[in-house]
Amino acid sequence: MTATERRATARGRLASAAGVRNTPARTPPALAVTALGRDGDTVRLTLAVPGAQDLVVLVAPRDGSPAWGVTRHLALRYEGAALAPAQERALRLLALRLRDVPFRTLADNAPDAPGSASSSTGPDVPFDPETAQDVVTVDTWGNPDRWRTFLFRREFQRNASSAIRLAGRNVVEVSHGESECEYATPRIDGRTMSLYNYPWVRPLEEGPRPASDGSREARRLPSHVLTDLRDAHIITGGTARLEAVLDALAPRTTRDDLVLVKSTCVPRVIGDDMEGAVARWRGLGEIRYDDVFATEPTGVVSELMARAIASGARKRSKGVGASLAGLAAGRPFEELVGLLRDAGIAVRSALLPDVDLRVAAAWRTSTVQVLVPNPYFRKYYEQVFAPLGMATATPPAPYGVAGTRTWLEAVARACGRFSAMRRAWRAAEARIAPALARLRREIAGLRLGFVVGPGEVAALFDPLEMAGVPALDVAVELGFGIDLLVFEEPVTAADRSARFPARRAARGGPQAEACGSDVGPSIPPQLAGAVAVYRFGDRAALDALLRSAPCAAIYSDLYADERVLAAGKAPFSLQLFEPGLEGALRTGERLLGACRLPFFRKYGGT
Amino acid sequence: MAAVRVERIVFLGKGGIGKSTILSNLSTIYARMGRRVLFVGCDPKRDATMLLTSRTDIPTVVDQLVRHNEVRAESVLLRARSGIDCIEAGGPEPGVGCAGRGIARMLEFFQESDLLAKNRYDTVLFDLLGDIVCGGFATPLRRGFGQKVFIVVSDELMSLYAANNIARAVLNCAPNGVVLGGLVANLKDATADEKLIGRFARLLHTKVVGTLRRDPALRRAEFKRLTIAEYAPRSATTATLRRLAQAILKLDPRKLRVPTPLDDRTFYELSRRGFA
Repeated sequence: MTATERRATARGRLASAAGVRNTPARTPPALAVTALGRDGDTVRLTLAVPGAQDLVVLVAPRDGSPAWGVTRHLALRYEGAALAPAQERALRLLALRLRDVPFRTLADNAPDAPGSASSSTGPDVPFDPETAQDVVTVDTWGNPDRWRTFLFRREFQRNASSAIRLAGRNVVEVSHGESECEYATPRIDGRTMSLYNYPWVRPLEEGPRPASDGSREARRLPSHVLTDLRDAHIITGGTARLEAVLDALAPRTTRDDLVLVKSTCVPRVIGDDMEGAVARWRGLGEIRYDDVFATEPTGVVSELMARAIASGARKRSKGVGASLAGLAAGRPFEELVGLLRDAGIAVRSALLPDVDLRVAAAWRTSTVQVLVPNPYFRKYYEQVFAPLGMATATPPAPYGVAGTRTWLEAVARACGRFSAMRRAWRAAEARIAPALARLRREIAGLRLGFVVGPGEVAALFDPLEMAGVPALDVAVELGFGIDLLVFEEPVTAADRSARFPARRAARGGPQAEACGSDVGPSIPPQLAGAVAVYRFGDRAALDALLRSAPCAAIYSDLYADERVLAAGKAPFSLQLFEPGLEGALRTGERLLGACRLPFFRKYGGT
Repeated sequence: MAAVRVERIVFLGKGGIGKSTILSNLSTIYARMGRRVLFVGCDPKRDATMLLTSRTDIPTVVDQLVRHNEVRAESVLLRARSGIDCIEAGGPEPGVGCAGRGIARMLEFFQESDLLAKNRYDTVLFDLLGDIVCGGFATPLRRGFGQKVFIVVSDELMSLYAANNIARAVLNCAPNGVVLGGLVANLKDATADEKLIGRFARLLHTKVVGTLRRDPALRRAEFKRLTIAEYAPRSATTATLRRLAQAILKLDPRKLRVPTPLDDRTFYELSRRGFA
């Protein structure tokens, strides 16, 4: 494409972005852009003005400097002396059209002006997809990179705190908010996780079992209360509603009870005085307020956990025991506890994501505390468990066959039961071997796809960046191949050739390249043989790649991601991954099911 | 018979500048001109409706919502003197909740009940809070609600600063068909710099459509819970208000220019020179 053609294309894209018609200069409409270029922090537009001279408009990011006019993001200036009325009209119309357009959208669509500083040295503010990636959230609709975002780690971070539930010691959790939050907020239970809460996978919280003395039931003390804000409360303020709930709870509480008030989005937005309501409460039990949407955990849960641990026995119990943090209750937990038991290790306490304060009291009776690596629990580990001075093991999370073995052996070694664990492992492995072999035969040849930015590749292979789940290790161990679809900033053909000499063309499809290019170092050597890298530079190329890449299922944190469905493929997410040996089998079955699902091939593809 | 254009008029301006007083008078004048007037109060103080109805127990949309979880037109529409219909959004107690959501909810009620249906009213006047501090307060500037915006100003700096901010909101809402009709000068004393307001208006690419001067009769009328158009119909102020009412009707929204609000730095720099 020649420079002139590039400019013409760019003008078209700008016109589209700004809603400006772009027509030949011979018959200029009310507003026509006849030239466009970028020079550093300024985009230079030439407007053809009917009945007046062309007007050169300089558009820059809005920074408070004097300008002819400003829009939400831009400052508009013009070249020349006083404006003719027709020029002024054109300028006003342009300002109106550009009123919501960010400078970057303009700049990205404007070719470098000839002779400009940026034309010879490249953009002076290089686009950094990683920086952009950090701010992308599910609801960042306007983000220019959203079309290529499939990993929404920030949402997980935000929801992790709200997933931690207190139980025991007659705890009442009061969620201050409206009911839709309860349906939309995903739970982290160690194996199911996506941005959609499936009630059939994880039923809505029913609260802890009633205490054995039955007093809680007798007092009709609920475990979880929602203030259920309605429209009127949002207008008039929800603090009174929260106080009413707390007042209703007050006569039912005793000195042994703990009421934990947790915020949700709406009361934060409307400025409800939740801490004030908590301070004014006159119930008998203890009451605390926890802002679960704070960027970092507030420390309230940590404090309660630490106190519960401190209130328990300080001495080790007889026999070998372990206290586990970061493994959610459920089938995988039971299996791992059973395998440890087979090796003579008793699990005496388990905390996070559910926090039963009664269970916490037994924490220090164990030989060792085992902390399952999870980025969302890091603060709790630092605040609660590190200061205890106990023997601590932090092996990689027990996902997949090898991962489960490594984890069990590490725990056993820390407990001095390594040999016993080897025996227990052999028996367990033998039990699943036939099913695993069958599964691997069925999986052979299937591939899973992941769409990432270049700086995200390393994160994809780092469990701490993936909610603690070593998803790619597990997938490769089960026999899946991995297709990495990597976004690449458009570069010139010469640059591209220089940067990626090893690439090869896929059959009739987009270009693929062997590992060993610039993303190669981010891929662990043991997985490199299973990984193929494909590149795309724009939405059309991504859509084509989603269809043509060999992978049968594609990772997305978005439920029913339309980009994947439109390609005739099934989306999958961390929700399918489960810890433990049996969990590895179930994970494989689920991924296999996603790959084999014919529905989207038949009905989703275009 | 030619269809009568529905006038959808919005008054904005710094708190205490006189919006409600002017708008309640304009409502009275329009009603006396034979127009079917709906006065929409978007200020939790609900003072304009108090003036128009001589009542203090003004039911509001928010009250209805809190008490009955639904809003019925017959419960919130008040018939004021001169046949003006009034409706007030109401709002939370000071310092709590979200008044903006209350206004947005009232406009949802308008849509649910088809209150602004054709031929029901030909003049709808919106009395908004002084500062458009959030999207909720700007909902009357959405498509189908307010159209001609007028900003009440004095020659005080913060009043003009608020006006500049409001012009920004008008610019943002221009795609909804919202236009800036002009500034209405409400001068507090005889020494007020009227020319300064004119210069500021030119910077915004608008004009001053009316100028009101201090009139003790206005205060006396308010204590009597009357508009000055009722209390002193032959006064100079009433005559000015009548001229303002006519000027507003004459403005063709299609011919009004998009405002050019200043950025803060420019505003303060120019204010030092009296916006010259």
